[in-house]
Amino acid sequence: MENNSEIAIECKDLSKTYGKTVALDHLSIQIKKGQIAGYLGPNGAGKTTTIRLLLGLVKPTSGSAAIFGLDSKIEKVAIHENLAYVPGESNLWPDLTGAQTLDLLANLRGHSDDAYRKELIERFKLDTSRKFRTYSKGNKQKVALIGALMARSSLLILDEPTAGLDPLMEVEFRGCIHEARENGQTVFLSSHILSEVEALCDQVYILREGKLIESGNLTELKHLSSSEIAIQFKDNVPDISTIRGVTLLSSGHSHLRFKFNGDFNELLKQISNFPVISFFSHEPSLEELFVSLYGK
Amino acid sequence: MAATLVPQISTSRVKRTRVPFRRATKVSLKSSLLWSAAFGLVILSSSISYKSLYPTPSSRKMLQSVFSSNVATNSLFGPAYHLDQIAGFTVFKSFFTLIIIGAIWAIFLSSKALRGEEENLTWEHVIAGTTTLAWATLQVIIGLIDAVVSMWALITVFVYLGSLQSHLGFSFLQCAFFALAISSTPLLFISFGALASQLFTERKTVNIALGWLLGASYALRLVGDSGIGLHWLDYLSPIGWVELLHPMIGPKPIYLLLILVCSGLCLALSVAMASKRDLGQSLLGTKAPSRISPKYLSSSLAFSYKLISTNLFSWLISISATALILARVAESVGSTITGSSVKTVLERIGAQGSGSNLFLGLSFVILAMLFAFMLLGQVLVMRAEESTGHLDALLSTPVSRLRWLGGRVMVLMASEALVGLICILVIWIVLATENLGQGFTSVLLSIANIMPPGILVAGCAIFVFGWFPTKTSVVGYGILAWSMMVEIIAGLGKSSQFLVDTSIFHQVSPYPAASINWKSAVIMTGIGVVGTLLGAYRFNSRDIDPT
Ligand SMILES: Nc1ncnc2c1ncn2[C@@H]1O[C@H](COP(=O)(O)OP(=O)(O)OP(=O)(O)O)[C@@H](O)[C@H]1O
Ligand SMILES: [Mg+2]
Repeated sequence: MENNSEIAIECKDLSKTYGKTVALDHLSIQIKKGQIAGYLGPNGAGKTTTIRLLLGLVKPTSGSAAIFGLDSKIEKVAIHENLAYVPGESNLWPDLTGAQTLDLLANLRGHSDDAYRKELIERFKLDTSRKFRTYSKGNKQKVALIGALMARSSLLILDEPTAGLDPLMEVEFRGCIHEARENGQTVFLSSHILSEVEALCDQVYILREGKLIESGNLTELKHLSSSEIAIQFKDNVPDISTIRGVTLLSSGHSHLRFKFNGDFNELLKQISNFPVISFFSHEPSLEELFVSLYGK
Repeated sequence: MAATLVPQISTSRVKRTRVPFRRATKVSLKSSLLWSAAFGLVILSSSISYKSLYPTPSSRKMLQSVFSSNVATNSLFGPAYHLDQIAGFTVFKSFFTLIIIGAIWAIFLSSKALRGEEENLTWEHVIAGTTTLAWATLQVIIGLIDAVVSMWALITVFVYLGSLQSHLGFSFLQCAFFALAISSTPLLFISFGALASQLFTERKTVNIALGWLLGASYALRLVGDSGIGLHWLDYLSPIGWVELLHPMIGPKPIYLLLILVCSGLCLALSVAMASKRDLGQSLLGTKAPSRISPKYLSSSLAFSYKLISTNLFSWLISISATALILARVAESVGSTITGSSVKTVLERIGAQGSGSNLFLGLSFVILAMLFAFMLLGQVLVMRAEESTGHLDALLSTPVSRLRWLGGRVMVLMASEALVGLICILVIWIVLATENLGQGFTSVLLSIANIMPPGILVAGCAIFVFGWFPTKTSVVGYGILAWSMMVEIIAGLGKSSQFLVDTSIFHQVSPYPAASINWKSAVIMTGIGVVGTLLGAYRFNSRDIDPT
């Protein structure tokens, strides 16, 4: 039994339909406090829908969502006391400057760390004196990001936060998320960028067409996808076709190349009697995992 | 030779996209058809009502003598001539209104097609294709001119057929020239709009600039026609030029030249400027961000006020200016009404009292319309906050939905009270200087009397905002457009009582000429309040819909 006070985000059988479109289909997840959770899925999978349900901006067709134990549908104001949100499309007020936008957000939220705000503005190299409408896509995103990070809220909900950021800024962003983790903040990060999720997240949830299809930490997930193995033997090659989890890609007089997602001990036992010149094993990246899950 | 290694693309062979032209046509044609039909209807009903209101030559002669030398109406609505003939009366009754509506239509249309599309980045895709900014601008201009030409053709045909049908005796040429004169205002303002769209980066600024231009050209010709020897001012005002065309009787087509040359120059200049500037930029650039006092950013209520403050200021100026003018001319117009057949007409709709009271009562209805537009505009800003996604950002902070909506409604009521109060002061002071003997209470009641339609429209719009958010502007403007249409038709002749009662402005009694209709005032206010409450109730639990 989990202690309830340890849970930051909880969805139970959460569903949302728009007319005939099922945007989210019976999602059940639990994210513990202090975790960095990655939320992955192709376009239209239902990531933004989940986030807007969590924030109480839309109400569930069935099921429930809760933040720090408070129901998102009922406690629409209380849940916002301690969270900061970066929307997928940063549409803030076009006539306000960057600085004015940050002021407004800080005042509405009621708390903000001014020193940290200053630091973030420098780190992200944002000119805050310009009107929001005149910012480029990446700079608009920076305003929204700084607006959320400066609050140092216990929960950060980020919907594709790095869209439009250049690689240097992406590095800064990762630094900020690491700092958030050190501060004990919880982060819910929806993303397309797998390397980012791979680098940052403790726990990954993968969504497709509104359904949660996989979840777990990175090591667990990697088992889902096959490693690619290439072995160069001194002379003969063993027969490995009987081992579970082997998909042969190519074999020659003295080499084997195959995909493997079975038990490594079994594999090693089978080849131990055949002298090996080189052994190359390639772990699947999340990228490959993603393709193997969605490419089908 | 290096050049031969690069494949040569012949520009003549690349097929230029016609997307800008097609989009402009699509945007403009529908509204052009709609307005042409409405304009035709206004013209025909003016003519037909003349026949029934002034059947005898003597009544026509009297009308002629009352209005032809009336400085007040001449300067407000343009000079009257040949009121003893249907054609003359028709021009007097409809021409000026149609000029103004046509100009406003052209302002919104051109700023949307030429700056709005660019501002919301639709053009990025178009310009990335096989065209240039100058070429796209030219195409849009041609598309808009198309709409003006079809307006001209439609009004001509509509009025001519109507004239045949009702034996009004207009010749085809008369109809065509009258329609041409009406359509020449949109032409002028589309060309000004094209030019302003090159100068300013934001559609809002383009609209404001053109609004001032329209106001200035109205004011110039107002002074020009006020009979104080400054007639030459008409030649400086685009609206003045259109007036000078003098359609129907004694036309002066020579002034068309002035209009065509001016619009041609503006349009050519716009295309030239478009070829010089970058997409999304303008020649004057964006104005430096203004300093916003931190107190406006301190809470969602203060920020609500900030979001509408510029707009509110424009409304404040235009409503109080209208009140000023109406009060200022009340006495002179009133004195001409006394004893004239116009009074008989007014008495038929239940208005009594001195001429100036009659005039005041009727002109306050104009203020009621302006107030209704102002309040509806504020409700539409609420919806705009949602559709732009700003509300997502706002409501993900600890601001409750009801607090946000409540703040908006408070700002709305406060601005109505503020503008109303200033109106009362302006009218009271002007009337006092004219010795018209309207007490302060009477003026206060006059303004209170015209508030309910606006409250009703705003309440209905908030109701729709709560339940069917995407329909807010359609329903809001629908109520206003319907009511104004009914007013125009009803004002021109007999029409069914049921139809007339559906206009919210018809529910306003022409106080001080008639006593205040408290019952309908209470009903309208009640509908507004209930609509607001029901809308707020639903808004509190519905999905926020940024589409
Ligand atoms: N207001 C709405 N009305 C109708 N359908 C909607 C609405 N909002 C979302 N949908 C639908 O719900 C589905 C999920 O959309 P959602 O925006 O959650 O996807 P997403 O995972 O965030 O995609 P992306 O990666 O493109 O941001 C889509 O099929 C979308 O069309
Ligand atoms: Mg999304």
